Amino acid sequence: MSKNLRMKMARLERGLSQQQLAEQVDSTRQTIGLIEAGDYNPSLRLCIAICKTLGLTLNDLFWTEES
Amino acid sequence: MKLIKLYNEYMGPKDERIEAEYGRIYRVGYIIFVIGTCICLFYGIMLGQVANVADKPIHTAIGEGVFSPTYLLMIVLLIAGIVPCWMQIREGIASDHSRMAEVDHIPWGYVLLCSALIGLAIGFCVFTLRVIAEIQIVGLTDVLWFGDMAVGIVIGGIGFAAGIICFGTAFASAIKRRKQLESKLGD
Repeated sequence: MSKNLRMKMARLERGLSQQQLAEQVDSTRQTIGLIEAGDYNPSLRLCIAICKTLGLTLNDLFWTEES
Repeated sequence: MKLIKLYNEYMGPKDERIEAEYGRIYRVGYIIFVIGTCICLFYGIMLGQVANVADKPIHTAIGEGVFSPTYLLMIVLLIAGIVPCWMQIREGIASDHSRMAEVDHIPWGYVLLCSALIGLAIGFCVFTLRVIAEIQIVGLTDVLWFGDMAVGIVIGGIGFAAGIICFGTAFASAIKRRKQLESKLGD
């Protein structure tokens, strides 16, 4: 799985640390870090919570075009 | 139900990744337990069959040298308990609730509470099972209530102490492992 740089950038643009984002989506810092590193595939529930917190859509953060 | 609700409220929401990891870890323990128990069962049946065919009464002095299936079951239980604990520590997981999943120091209050509950449960089980055993063997009138209670208290106390050591070590190792993971992931 590739790194989710879009999520990391969106988080940093909003001035949130992994810990702060984790607290807002009922998760842990490690889980957020692992999603960004591409080492964890989150559930739809968590994806939606992250999108809502960052004010973006699922397409913006998680959709990947096949190369 | 209200107590469980209160407990869940106090412990905070669960992290889905840790919950999934817990599921995987417990599955390993469950598989070890089921396979191990089946092996114990078959071993016990084989012992009985061989003793029957050879006409050797196994439940007498002749059977003293035989490795008991009960000991084998104890080993299986121990392995089925230790392996998931070890996997949990290796993954840096101490709890799936966010309140305890991200602690930076060992939460001694929680550790003491859990250990006390375990000690109480062990003490109560020891007392109850001894009483049940005595009722069947020596009868209700000859049950040593205070003796059984004393044994329950002593073993429950050992369980309490063991709980503190195990929970404390688990939290300490999980915190260390989690910090390693966090430094690797960055922010």
